[in-house]
Amino acid sequence: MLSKFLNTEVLNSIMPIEKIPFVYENVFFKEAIDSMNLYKIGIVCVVDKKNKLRGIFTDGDIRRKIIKIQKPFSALFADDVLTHTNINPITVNGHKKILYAVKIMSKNKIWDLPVISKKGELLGLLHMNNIVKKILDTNFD
Amino acid sequence: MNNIINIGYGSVNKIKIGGNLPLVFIGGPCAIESKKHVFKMAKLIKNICDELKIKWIFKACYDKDCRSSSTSFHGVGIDEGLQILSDVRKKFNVPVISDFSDTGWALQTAEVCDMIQIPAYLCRQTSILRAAALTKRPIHLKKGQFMSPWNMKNSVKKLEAFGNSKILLTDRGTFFGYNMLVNDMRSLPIMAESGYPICYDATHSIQMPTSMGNISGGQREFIPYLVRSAVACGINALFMEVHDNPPKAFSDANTVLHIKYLKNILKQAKYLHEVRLKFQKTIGKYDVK
Repeated sequence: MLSKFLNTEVLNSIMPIEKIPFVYENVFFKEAIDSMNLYKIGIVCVVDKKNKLRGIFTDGDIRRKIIKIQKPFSALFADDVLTHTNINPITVNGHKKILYAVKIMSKNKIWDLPVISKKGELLGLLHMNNIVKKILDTNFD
Repeated sequence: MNNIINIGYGSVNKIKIGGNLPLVFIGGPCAIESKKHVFKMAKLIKNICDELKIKWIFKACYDKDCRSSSTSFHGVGIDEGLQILSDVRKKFNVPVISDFSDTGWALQTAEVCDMIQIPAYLCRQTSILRAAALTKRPIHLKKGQFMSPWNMKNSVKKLEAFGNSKILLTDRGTFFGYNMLVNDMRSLPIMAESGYPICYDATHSIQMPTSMGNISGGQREFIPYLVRSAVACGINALFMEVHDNPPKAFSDANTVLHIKYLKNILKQAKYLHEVRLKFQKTIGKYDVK
């Protein structure tokens, strides 16, 4: 049932941290992009030593940076990752319902939502493709 | 420019570099030519700095390993050189700095020197950086002429990884084709993003590396222009090699500044530094985005 799925906890549908791009806050910008390429996902989460989410950046952020910053790639790559991190990302608590999370994603036109604990630790990523797949797999009868 | 580093141990004058503190001068002859000459130069520089109320660190090297020719003066050697620097410390109460180009010399150099210098050509050599870091002395890290200012972060991270975060970063010009250096003042704020204090080396910046066949040339006439530019841009320390008879200098004869110009140039540098700090205080930082 679709309504049953939409009322499940976000945590049941996340991509766990070991399967998403994430980097620690002290790395270069280039290393974060490498992580995105490795996992083929257009978002990277930046965390501190205690795994607390410091921010994110996305493919779109990189596109806008390239046009705006106008500095050589070698200089951009050597920037500290936090220089280019959105430190106020939209996130969702893992215990919220899928319907709640999907509404956030729809309203903000985003495809990936970092999932965090009450303490702000990164737990994983809610990816719109996975939600669509689960909906398509739902028995509508 | 947040970090402040402290220079000086024992009884010498203690110096702080960084933040919004007064400009510090690092200077002396390129090479230690003799005890007599070093003492002469130290006395001349001390008189000028005392008069201008500028804190300074005496610089001279005991080994010149990057000379263009095997027949060029290579230095008095580590034992004699460090003894002379030790004597200068005691006589003038001034902190001293010298570079090293062999990992085996780092500890011995740091036993005497208040600050140790990593030559620009060796600025990314991990073993040299490790040896410098392990001495625990403040480190004067020069940007290689072949390095971008942003890539100096790698060398800084190496020093930090080896446990030393007392770093002064210096620009000394950047290769522009062959035998020519240019000065990109953007490197100063870019390197300052590291959080460490920044220095500008005015006499090596006008060098034309090995442009004269087997020795380097230089265009000394640009030193005052570049000093004014760098100080106005924003630095914490100014580095210049000085000599009382440049044509006869054992090393860098085409780039060292004649001591007769030092007072005038330092006066300008001090004035501009104070003006910059005043402007920063009264009209704010330069936060153009």
